[in-house]
Amino acid sequence: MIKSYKLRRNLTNALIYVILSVLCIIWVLPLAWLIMTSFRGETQVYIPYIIPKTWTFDNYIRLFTDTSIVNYPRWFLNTFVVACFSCVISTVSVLMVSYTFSRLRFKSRKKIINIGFILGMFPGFLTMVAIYYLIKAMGLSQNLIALILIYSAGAGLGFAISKGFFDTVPRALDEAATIDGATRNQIFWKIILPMSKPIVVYTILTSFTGPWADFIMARIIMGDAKDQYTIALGLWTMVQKEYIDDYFLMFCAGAVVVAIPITALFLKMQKYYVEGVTGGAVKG
Amino acid sequence: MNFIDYVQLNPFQKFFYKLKTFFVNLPKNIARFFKFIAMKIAAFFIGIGKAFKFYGVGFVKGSWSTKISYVIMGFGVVVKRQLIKGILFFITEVAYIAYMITFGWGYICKLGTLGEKHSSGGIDPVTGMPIVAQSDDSMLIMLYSVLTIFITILFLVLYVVNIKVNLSLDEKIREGGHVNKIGEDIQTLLDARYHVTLLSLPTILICVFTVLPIIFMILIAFTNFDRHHPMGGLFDWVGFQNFADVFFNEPKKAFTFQTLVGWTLCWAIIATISCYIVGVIIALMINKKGIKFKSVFRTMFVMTVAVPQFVTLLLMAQMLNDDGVINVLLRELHIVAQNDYVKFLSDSGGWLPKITVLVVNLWIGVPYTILSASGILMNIPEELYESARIDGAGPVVTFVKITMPYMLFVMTPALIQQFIGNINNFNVIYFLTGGGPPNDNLLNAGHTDLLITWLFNLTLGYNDYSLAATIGILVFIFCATLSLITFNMTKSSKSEEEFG
Amino acid sequence: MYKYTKRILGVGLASLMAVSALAGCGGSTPSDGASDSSSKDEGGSSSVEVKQYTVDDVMGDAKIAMGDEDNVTLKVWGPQASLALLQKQCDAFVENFKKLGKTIKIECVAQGEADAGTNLKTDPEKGADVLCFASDQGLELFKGNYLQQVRLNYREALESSNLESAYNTVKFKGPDDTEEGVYAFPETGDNGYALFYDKRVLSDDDVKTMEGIMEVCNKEKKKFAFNLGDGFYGCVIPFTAGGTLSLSDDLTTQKLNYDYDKISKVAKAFSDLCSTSDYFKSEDINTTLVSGFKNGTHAAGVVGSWKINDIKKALGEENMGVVKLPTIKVDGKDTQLISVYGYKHMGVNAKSKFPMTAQALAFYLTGEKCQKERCEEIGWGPSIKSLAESELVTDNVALKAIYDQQQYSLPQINILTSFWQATGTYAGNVVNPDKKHDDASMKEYYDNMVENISIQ
Repeated sequence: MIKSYKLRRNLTNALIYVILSVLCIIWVLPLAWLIMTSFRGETQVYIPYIIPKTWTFDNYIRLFTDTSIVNYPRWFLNTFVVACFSCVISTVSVLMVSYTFSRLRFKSRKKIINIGFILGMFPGFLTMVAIYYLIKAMGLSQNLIALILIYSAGAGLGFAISKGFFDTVPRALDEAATIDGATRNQIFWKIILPMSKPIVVYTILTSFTGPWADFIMARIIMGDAKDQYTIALGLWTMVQKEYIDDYFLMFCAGAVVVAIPITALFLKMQKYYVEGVTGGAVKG
Repeated sequence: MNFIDYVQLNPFQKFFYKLKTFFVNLPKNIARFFKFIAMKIAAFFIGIGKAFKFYGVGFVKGSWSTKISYVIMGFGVVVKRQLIKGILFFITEVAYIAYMITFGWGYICKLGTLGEKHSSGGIDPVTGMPIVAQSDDSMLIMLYSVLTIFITILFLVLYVVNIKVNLSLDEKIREGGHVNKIGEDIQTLLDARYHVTLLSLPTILICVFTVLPIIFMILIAFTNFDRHHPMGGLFDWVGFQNFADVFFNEPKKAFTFQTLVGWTLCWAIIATISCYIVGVIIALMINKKGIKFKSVFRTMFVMTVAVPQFVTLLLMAQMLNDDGVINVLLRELHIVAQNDYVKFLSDSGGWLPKITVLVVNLWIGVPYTILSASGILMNIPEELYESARIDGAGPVVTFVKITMPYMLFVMTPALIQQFIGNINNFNVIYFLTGGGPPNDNLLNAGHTDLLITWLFNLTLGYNDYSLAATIGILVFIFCATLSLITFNMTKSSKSEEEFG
Repeated sequence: MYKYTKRILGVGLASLMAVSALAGCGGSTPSDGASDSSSKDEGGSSSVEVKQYTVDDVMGDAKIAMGDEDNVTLKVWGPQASLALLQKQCDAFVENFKKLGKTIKIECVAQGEADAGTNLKTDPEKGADVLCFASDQGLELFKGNYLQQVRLNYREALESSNLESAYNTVKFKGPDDTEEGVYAFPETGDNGYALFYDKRVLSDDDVKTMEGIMEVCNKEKKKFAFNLGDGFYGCVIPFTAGGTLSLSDDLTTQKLNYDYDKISKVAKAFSDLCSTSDYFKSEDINTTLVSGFKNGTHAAGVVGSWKINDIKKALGEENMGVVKLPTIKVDGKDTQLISVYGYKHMGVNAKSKFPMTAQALAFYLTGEKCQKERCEEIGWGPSIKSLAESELVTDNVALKAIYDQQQYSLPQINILTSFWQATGTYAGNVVNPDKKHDDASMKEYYDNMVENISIQ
């Protein structure tokens, strides 16, 4: 009886190993293909076989040296700058808003939360035309500052997850501090924030990676100013029909180069990401 | 069903019970909703009445300096020794008046007609150059009018605050109380009124970059700003014309709208549920006791989350192309004939591309579910499983009776969020198929177009701004209603009141 | 002398006169014709006669070219492939006027001519002063007042030097106008397509007929790519059937004038072709054709002039063949395929801050010298008559094929945005082997096209 149970368990486990391995391969293969293609020597976009016959490192070299038309290093730098600034502004506003909603009690709080919640549902790019003209009226079109503003301005509305987290921090802490004469400002900075590392890291992580992935807003704001492009827009340009025959392999190399730091960052911070997501999910 | 019965249900059944009651009560709730709106409107007018009363009474009761403050903001405050605050009030008033005279008023005046001057042209007989007298720009008139209205509201709020401050100072002086110095005022902003400090910056940003554009877009939906009315020229108010067109007035538009609504909902439901189920199953396998290399497996999946989405999507689009690597693979494996290929993204019937985008979405979405599901799985109390095992339940039964309901219960809000996210899932469709393959029964839309990609193409490709705005509003109303309902249905919004 | 009539509001005219009188004082602008014509103002309508200039006149006199404009900065949009040359030509323009005492700065920015119009519409003020666009966008740009009318003094030069068919595609007439105006400078005469093939596979005789090509393709198991699913190529089916396009006077609705009987026969010929062979592919040639030639999976493809250099690289110059489109058997008779034929134009943004200089620049860039350079250096076919008939074109196989096809084509006039998708979807359905091709379905595809084309 016990033996057969063990056998069955081993069998199931073996089956699970097989299924998981197959799935892992399916999930990793496209990325492997991307890396392989970025080292391919044949210049045409499509080849009628899978494994390239010639290998080269040229695609990477061209990516960083041949910058007259496709200025990848510049785009990378642009995105990095935008990501840093919008990350700081977004993180600060999300934390401020969610702390306020979670901890402070004031008139019409409930109503404001609901309004914020509804506004947060609104996909920003539905209003892209209006935003564009607003930015233009400010004299910021084709400017990286505009992107920073757009990415971080609405961040305050993404309070749901971190509010859920703050809700779980015991209120007794606040009360004890208040008795000791601390102001709410001090409580926020000295007590709550240090305790909320997972959610702070989660917020930083999501707001830092956002600008690397956004395409629509960058496209609308930047227009023909190739110097001001971000990575997403630049890589998209490289697979458009005017460019693809010349730049497809550079596109692959560029995609690898941008994926590596983000992936590394993500894997390192994975723990916090999970805590952030589930913390928010469990607590709603 | 009474409370005792309800408590005995498992979470799964509870959820469906809630769902049932929700739909049973729907008509009643809708009626209640409209009653609520009516009450709010009434309350609004009563509130205005009260405000005027307050305003009048305050004028009669206030000191002489308060009375002057009704005209010159901040005067009373300065007299009552809050110099800096008073000067700030005064500067606001001067700035507002200057703004209105030089800029704002001119635009507000034109808001009713959106400008009337047409462009006219001719030839300069000396240089032979064409000369064009520009028409009014309706869009700028609208944008700046909305901005001016915003600023006016802000100013009115400050004005009322000015009066309130005056009145409360009057009262304090009458009672011989202490008048705050500016330093003390700042101190309260860090403590008693800390919420004002924290919320002000995000609120300003949100007002300018979210609320203002939304209002602007809502206004656009009531105009005829389309490709026959080019950018920089004139257009007019048309009332509910666009909504009528989308629903019944123009058969082709209405048909396209209905078809896309159908496919968008279909897509969102299937995409959400498939990602959820596959993700949970994989998470269960990874987290099963006795499975080693947990973190290796998890890392493999998580890598796809980390790589920016547009990269993987552009990549997938290349791989799934008629000559792409997947077709090459199929050929090498002799699944398709040597010269043949599977039209993953281009099959004109539309079904294969639809399935393809769903599968690719699965590839992209599942790792997210794995991440969050893993966390939740670890939180399921072990006793539940223990007792189930004692009762002789097998793995399948425990899964159906314990794991699944628990996960579903905890993840419902996240699922609804994901559902809404999928309705607005621009990236997957746009980068993979661009909405194609084209469908000649639809108006400027293809087989895989979602409402949101249609909207994008209408805006950028066809310059049909008013139609795009109309669709945007409809999508927004749908999403907002759905999320409000779930938000208020879930436990969290109630339980947090315990803190209050 | 060129006569120009347009209704001008009385007040507008008076103020124009005042302005121009002031402007005319200091300069030596030849304005002889102007003062007489201005007095002919009758009932709000006026005729203007102005002196005509050539490119040489413009390049020789800063006053003529730029008026009072100085310290000019201009932005030019051109496709990436021509950008380096474009910048060189612009620099020459700048240099020329530097000698004449004017300061100009010109920046060339890559912007594909297919999207230039769309991007200009999104925000004219951020758009280029001078932009290169494909002729099918001309009508939409004109309707939205995005293009500045060509300076009257250049019209005679444009009309006399350019191919008539090219000049016809830059003339537009609005519903309120009494006569046609010219709104762009023809830049190239080659925005059409031809049949490219691999000489190692197909012989010169094979490529004369569709049937000949398909016979070899089937035997050699190589593909013939003809992207009928894209309206730019798909309109071959209705055009071969002898159809034309017309446009309503208010410029909002276009209409197909086709004989259903004829079109159904042509469509039948195409659908038969694709149902009998796996090698006739309506696929996105923009990405697959060049790879296909290089990999040896494709024997032939119909594609536009802009791929010439890439294909040359893929096949090797000696193996690349280019000819006009083949014939197809309709009702047992060989019928020549009729295509749509376009041009590339340069337009001046109506919102340009330096309109006179921008016009002069566009005039120069589309002049004979610049067109010749473009033809020699990047292989773009000229729209200037004398160049189009010279050895420059006749000695260039690819260009020759494209110009040959021109006599079997309809120019891009009266075309609105809705045209491309409608015809593309129709033709795509006709040649898709997975679709039903009985009479009823074919009629349905046709009806949908007619309806979609006429959508406002």
